[in-house]
Amino acid sequence: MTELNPDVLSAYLDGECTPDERVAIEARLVIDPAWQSELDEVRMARDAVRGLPLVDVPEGTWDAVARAITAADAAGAGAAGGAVVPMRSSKRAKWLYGTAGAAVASVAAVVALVFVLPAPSSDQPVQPAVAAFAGVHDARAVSIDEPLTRVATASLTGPTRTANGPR
Amino acid sequence: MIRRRVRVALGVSIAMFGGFVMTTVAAAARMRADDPQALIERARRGVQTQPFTGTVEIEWNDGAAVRQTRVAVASDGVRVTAGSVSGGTGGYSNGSLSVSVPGADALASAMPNPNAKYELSVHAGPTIVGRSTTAVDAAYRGVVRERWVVDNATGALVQREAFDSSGSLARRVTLVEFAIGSPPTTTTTAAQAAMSVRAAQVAKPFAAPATLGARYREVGAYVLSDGTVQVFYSDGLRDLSVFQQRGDLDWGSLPTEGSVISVAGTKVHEYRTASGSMWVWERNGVVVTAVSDTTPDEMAMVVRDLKPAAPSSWERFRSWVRDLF
Repeated sequence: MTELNPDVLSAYLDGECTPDERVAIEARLVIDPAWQSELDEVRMARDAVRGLPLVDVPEGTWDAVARAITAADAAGAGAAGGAVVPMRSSKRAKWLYGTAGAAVASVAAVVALVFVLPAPSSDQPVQPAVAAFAGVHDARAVSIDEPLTRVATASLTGPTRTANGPR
Repeated sequence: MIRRRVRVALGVSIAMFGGFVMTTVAAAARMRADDPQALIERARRGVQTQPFTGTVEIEWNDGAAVRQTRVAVASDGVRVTAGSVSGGTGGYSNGSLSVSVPGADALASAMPNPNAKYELSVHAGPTIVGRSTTAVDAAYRGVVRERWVVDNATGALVQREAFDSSGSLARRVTLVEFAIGSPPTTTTTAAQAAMSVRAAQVAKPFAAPATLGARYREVGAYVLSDGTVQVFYSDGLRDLSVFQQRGDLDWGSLPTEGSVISVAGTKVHEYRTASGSMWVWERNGVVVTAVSDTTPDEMAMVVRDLKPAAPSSWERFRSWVRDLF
């Protein structure tokens, strides 16, 4: 027994395993965390189902089911050789499909957000010190350019009036 | 007899040598007077060796009208001082400024050669404050964009004109009073820069292309004390600084002078002052302030060409998450 099969664990919890199977399962549970985790999930699912309230079916339901089975047997006797194929659903597969679907949906949502979102805004609005920048520029320019006209023009301060008065 | 021959030969040799020296000096002087590059270099350093006092008249077009003002200037050969203005229609307050004349600044060696952009030519200049001059024209794409007029006797710059791409005058600075050797006036020294700077490598999202606009070449990049990035450009005659700050421009905080224009779909607040142009705009979350002595048409090219990096998708997402919480 090397494959992790939820059905085997379900049978184990229901006491439906042979003694050899039971020993093998318990030996594997001791050494394999994946098996322990799977056992916890199967137990939780089993308990959840068992926790559901019992509901009485409407009167005549079972008779209707019996008639439907009889009719189905009669109709399909020659078509499919009368073979009944049990459909066994895998909880593990469902869980994987669900997780993968959720992951794909999440990635798609993130990608959509990244491309749809506007450019990031700054925490603080910028108030450029225009006159001060002009002074910084002039100081650098007069150090390399002809100084006469540069110094003369730079001595005149730049725009300073604001809506709230001089800066 | 032999002594006489020796004396004659010696005299002839001296005369020939003297003639050779005089011819060489005259040729060198002629070449210098005709060489626009040499005239520009001499004008840049003329005030270093010529103590003088004078008055400079500044005229400029602010987009609405031609304005004019005057500034007193003086040099003791070490520092150039300006201030004590006498009236004018400038509309801007006047301060005073005192700076050291150009020395062995590392930037000077990084300055591009004007020949890389301009076609330089020399012709006789006008008489300014009674002095004969030579004019150097710098043409770009067939239009004279700068004219430097230098004093023939001292090599000092006595007039400088800037023209736009249509040939219209954008600014004229003229020395209207000039006295060599007079002691300089003493004025208060103003701080050259309100912010300290340090050389820096420019990183995203800020932009620092090696060349910008009308053949402006990067000369240096700095970070101001408030984190503003300054990239300094020159085309050999004109200078340009691009200041960049990350964030959203608070348009209401800008000085109310100037005007708001649109350049290639970008909203720009434009100021035209005596010293040049100051343009402010925002692109890709970066606020740009460009300061230059260039003309508005070349400033418009800067607006078009300077492209701070747009925030990456990851930055958008991080910002969105940050804003969310």
